[in-house]
Amino acid sequence: MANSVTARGPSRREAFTAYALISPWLVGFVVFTAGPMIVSLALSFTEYNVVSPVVWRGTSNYTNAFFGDPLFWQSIKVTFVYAALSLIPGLVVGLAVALLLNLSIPWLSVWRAIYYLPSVISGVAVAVLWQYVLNPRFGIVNWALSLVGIKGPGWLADPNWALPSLALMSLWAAGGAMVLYLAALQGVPTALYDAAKVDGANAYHRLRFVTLPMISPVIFFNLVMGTIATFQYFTNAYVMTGGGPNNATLFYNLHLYNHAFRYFRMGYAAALAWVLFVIILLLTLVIFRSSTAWVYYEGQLKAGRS
Amino acid sequence: MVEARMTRRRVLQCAAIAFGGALTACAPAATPAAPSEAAGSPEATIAPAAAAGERPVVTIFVGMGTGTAPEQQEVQDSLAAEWNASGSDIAIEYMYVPHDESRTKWATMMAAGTPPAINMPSGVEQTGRFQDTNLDIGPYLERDQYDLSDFGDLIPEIGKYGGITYGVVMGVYPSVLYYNEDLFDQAEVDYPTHEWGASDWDYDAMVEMAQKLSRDGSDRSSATEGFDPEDQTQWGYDEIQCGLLINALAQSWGAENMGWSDDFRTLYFNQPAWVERLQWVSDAIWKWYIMPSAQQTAAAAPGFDSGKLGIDQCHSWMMGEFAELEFHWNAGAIPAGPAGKIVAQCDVDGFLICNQFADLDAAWEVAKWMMEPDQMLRLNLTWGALPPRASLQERYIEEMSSKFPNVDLQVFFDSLGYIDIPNQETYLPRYGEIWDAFYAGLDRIVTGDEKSAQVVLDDVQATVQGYLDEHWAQQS
Repeated sequence: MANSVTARGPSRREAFTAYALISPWLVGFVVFTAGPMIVSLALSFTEYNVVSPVVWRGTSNYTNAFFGDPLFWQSIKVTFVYAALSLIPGLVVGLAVALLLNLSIPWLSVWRAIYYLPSVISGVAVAVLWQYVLNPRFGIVNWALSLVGIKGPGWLADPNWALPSLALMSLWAAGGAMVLYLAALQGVPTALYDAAKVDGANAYHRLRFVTLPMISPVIFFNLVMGTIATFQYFTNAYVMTGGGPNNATLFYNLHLYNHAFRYFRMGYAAALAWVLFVIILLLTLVIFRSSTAWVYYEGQLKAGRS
Repeated sequence: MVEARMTRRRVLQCAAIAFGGALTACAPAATPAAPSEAAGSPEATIAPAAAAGERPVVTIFVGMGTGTAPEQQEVQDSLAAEWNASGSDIAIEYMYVPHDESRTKWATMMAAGTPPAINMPSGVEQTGRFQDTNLDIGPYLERDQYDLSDFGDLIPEIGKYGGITYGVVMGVYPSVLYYNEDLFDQAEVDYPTHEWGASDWDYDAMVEMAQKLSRDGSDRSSATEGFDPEDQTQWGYDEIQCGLLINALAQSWGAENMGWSDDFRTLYFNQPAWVERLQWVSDAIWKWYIMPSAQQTAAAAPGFDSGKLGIDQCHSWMMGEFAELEFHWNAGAIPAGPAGKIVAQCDVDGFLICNQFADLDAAWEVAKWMMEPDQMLRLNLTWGALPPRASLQERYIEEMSSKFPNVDLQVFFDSLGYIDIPNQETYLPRYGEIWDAFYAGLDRIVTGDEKSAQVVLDDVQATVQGYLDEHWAQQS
């Protein structure tokens, strides 16, 4: 292999070949990802309604978002409340189901498939399905409540229940996280459980001191991805409530969409998109920082000890 | 080594082909049409005709009004086929876009330099929203001495904004009181009058009537002691589900303006007439129990077609959904408000010509042909609209009578004398945001979150005036 990589690094010809090979991806990235991002950043300082020329507005879109747009803060509030109602419960439910499906029970593959299925169904189909489930007139939820003498609320039509309804619905798709938990659970060495048993650990102790630390990288991963997905929540609110009633489900992304595609205020929508980017970035950084305190990487520990 | 070089060369060639392919894919599909000169004077507005030998294609964009249902497409496509077969040197092509995507599609086509020629059917809202892209057709009307006298006194005004005629009304959807005759018969209540402007027909009389029609599970009316609103099964009246706008309705309560100043700098959303009109809605839901709340609507779906609603104030387009109703219905006149005025809110569909289209003459010729009585009648029958031409009324009633033999269709035409001018959808800066804010306030009333119209409209006023102030601050 005369052309193999030497200690001085690849030759110019090899480097050229490498760049040529990745050029389709690079072109795609520049044209379809980096380019639009840069354009949207530039647009965020302008007023642009698509059919008229772009007008420079400086930082007014950003100042207006924070100090002039009451729905900006409403959408922030809705999104954070939803995150509180759905993110941690979603992680807990996903883990609980994974723990159950990690047991030796009959028809295990079928159960796993059933729990995972909602995660792969189209968002709009799920939204329409849940509109039926939560329908106050003929929905199965209110029917079940009526069996125990409870008159169910209006769910999506009630400003007090609309957001909890969407959070409740989000638990249905906990199967996505469940699959990752399952993979992690099956990677926990059985020797650790055996050793814990020898030391007298009961089931709770084995979960608390063996299982959770060993799968904490997957919990961390699900937390980060769940946080990002929560702050980009859109489809269900768009299809089921349109942000109502009385803006009770006006998620940040829905507010952004309204400005972009209903009011044709592309500049302001671009500014909202960059604010969202910063919010997600900051939250992700906080989670990453906190991970040193609670995420256990077996490889890191071994490397440290060696 | 040679093989290796050949392989590398081939790899580079493949990469170059892929690169070229990506660039080709990103290139514009066609050369954009050159925009016409700015609208304004007749000379500038009327573009030169297409060069001889070419057959310009006039694309009619459908999506911002009605017209996208399969049976409607069939009628519109047949009109296009007739025109195209007539030997004209212009071709018609219909483009159908789902309503929810229509504005984005339209704006994208404009931005891409490939504008459609005509937007039809298109409501009043679009005239204001995309006014910079609409052609002033006044010079064409003048050039061809086009006679609009058949359109009545009020209707041509709807296509105007700021003194400029952007479009001609092709179909109108005035509102009436639809009523369920079976429910009236069961309650032994007289039907609403069909006579517009009848002396004793006002909103108080209608409330009294609607209360007798509103029933609970024990068949008690909402006017009687012991009525249980938690167990309500039937409602006397509704206007919310039709989406009627307060700036039209409040005119019956004495509103002196559309809700804003003429210069669009000040909003009057908490003016007394609006507060009183919205309080009437609140009372209708929470005091008289004649209108369903949001929760009741979600739980019982008491639309007019459900048979649980006595009276529904709504536009003529609702008739399109009534072909297979299992009860007898008819149409009555809208009552007068406390100010003694009758207002029948009217939706409108017309055509707009895009001023950036390359061959404006061709677009105008097509639009003019569509305005002719035969074409207009066929379009109106499929849109569920009333023809704005007075000369078409008789033929229209004849056609519709076969579908609805027991309905007094004259009530719809009589309502044209009471339509809202300016139209409730007329231009307002930041239109979408402002009306969304109003509807969010209306949600508070309809859900029972707040029952005082004054409180709601004070909040709405603060919000919407903020939008407008920001708009003008940016403009300056």
